[in-house]
Amino acid sequence: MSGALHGTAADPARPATAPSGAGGAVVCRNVTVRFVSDRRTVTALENVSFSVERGGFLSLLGPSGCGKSTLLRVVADLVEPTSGDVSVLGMSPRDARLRRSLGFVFQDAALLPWRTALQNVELPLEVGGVKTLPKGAPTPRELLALVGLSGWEGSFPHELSGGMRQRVSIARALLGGPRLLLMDEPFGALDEITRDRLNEELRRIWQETGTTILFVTHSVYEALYLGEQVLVLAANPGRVSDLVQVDLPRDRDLKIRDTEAFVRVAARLRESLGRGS
Amino acid sequence: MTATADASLLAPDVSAAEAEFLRRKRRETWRRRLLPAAGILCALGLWAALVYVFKVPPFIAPSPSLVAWTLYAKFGLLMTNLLPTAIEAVSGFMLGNIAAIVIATTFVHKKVLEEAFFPLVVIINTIPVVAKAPILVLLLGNGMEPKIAIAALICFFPTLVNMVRGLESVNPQSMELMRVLSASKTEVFFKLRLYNSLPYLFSALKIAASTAVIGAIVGEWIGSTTGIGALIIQATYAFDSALLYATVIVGSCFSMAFFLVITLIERLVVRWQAPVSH
Repeated sequence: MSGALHGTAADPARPATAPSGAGGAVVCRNVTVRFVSDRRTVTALENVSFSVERGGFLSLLGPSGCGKSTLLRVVADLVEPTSGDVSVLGMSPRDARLRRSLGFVFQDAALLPWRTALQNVELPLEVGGVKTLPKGAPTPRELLALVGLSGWEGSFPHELSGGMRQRVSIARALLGGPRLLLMDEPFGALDEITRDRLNEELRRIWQETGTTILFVTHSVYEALYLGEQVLVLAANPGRVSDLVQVDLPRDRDLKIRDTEAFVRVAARLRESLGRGS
Repeated sequence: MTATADASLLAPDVSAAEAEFLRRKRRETWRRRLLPAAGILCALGLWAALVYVFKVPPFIAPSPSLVAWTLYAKFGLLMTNLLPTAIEAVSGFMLGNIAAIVIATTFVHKKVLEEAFFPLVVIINTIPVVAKAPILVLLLGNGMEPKIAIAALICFFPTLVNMVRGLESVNPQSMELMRVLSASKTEVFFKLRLYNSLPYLFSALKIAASTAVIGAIVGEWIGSTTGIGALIIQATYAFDSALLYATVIVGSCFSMAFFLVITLIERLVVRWQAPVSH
């Protein structure tokens, strides 16, 4: 495994290890996560360091089992790191969670089936300590409109398609105007056509809301099309194998995936993925 | 031009197919309604024929017409006996299920209690109703109380098991969502676990609706002078087969009605599941 780190390692692949702490939306320093079970200890993440500036869009790309979902859960305060420091918007992940500074979009949408689309988006106002919307923040109805679901407010999840359910879940995560949006393979279970459309819309929503996004995926194209930066992770144990700056224009449509620049970076990402495994 | 021509060509075809489809669907609906009724009528006819052909004496088995006549002639007697059974079954149902729901909620919040007492609950449940009944009669006397207790006990276990499962089998991502939203334990219970448990609860309640009636009747077999159970015993000893059959029919009709009421309530409460096609 480690022998695979030869040759092309001359790339500026060394991830920026902990730059100035306060400025970043998310700063992770030497984060290690170990899960201890009866039989063995699994190291999900080892010495992972990275940072995202505010308003950035970072894709986390890696094979299954590389700990990319775990990394997202560390940032969301769902998993406690064994060692290392995490700072989210200059706070501890716990404080960021308590203040509703982050939204999370799950792989299977995680909508409550007994609530309508609108009621699902309203859920964050009914639980936890934050029960009012900040001044000027979009209302649940406006957020449903933002994700293209006006007219579907009263529908139950089982009446919606997979793509629509995921849109509702994005609207819910955006409620209260979180400054950080964490997305765990949200489009992984969707067909390619729906996924393409949602990718385009996510770029638009990112530009409209200005929130920082961390997006976990195992698709090279998705990572590259969406992200301003792509953090490539390797498995066993999960670690950073490459950090790639995406020099594509801010306004992108899907056709950009056929351009030479895109294909070149995609090749670089695939190479990094290959090196890591 | 060609487009309109196509449409006019297609339209009669489509509407004919649509009409044919609707006709077939209507026929299907009627079939589904009529066939069970035909089955029941067939069985009744066979029963009547057997009694007539073999000249079965009325103290062994009555003819359907005699049962129907008894249902009419002794309607008052049947209803006065149904009332206590219904009260026992319904109160036992309420008591047993409320206890099960409360205990399931406690188990989910205090794992220690679940580990300590769940095996005991399983052991009590393995005692057959018929064996539990005399014990409860000794403990609670000869009135309605032991019957209510038996009906409650019989409802209790399936509801407890299903309710615990319903409260605990919450989608892990929904739990993570609640944590991201910093929801308190109480909020997780009322916004997530309780709703999640409702389909499980209702499938247990539907079973309990018919078993509660069984519990009340079995309770009445031991030391009781009124009720469907008592009437069954009296009719048997008196070789009054027509009254016995009529009593059984009344009991099972009540049981079915109880089940239907619970099913209706379920439809009103659990509205989020895609309707299950039969």
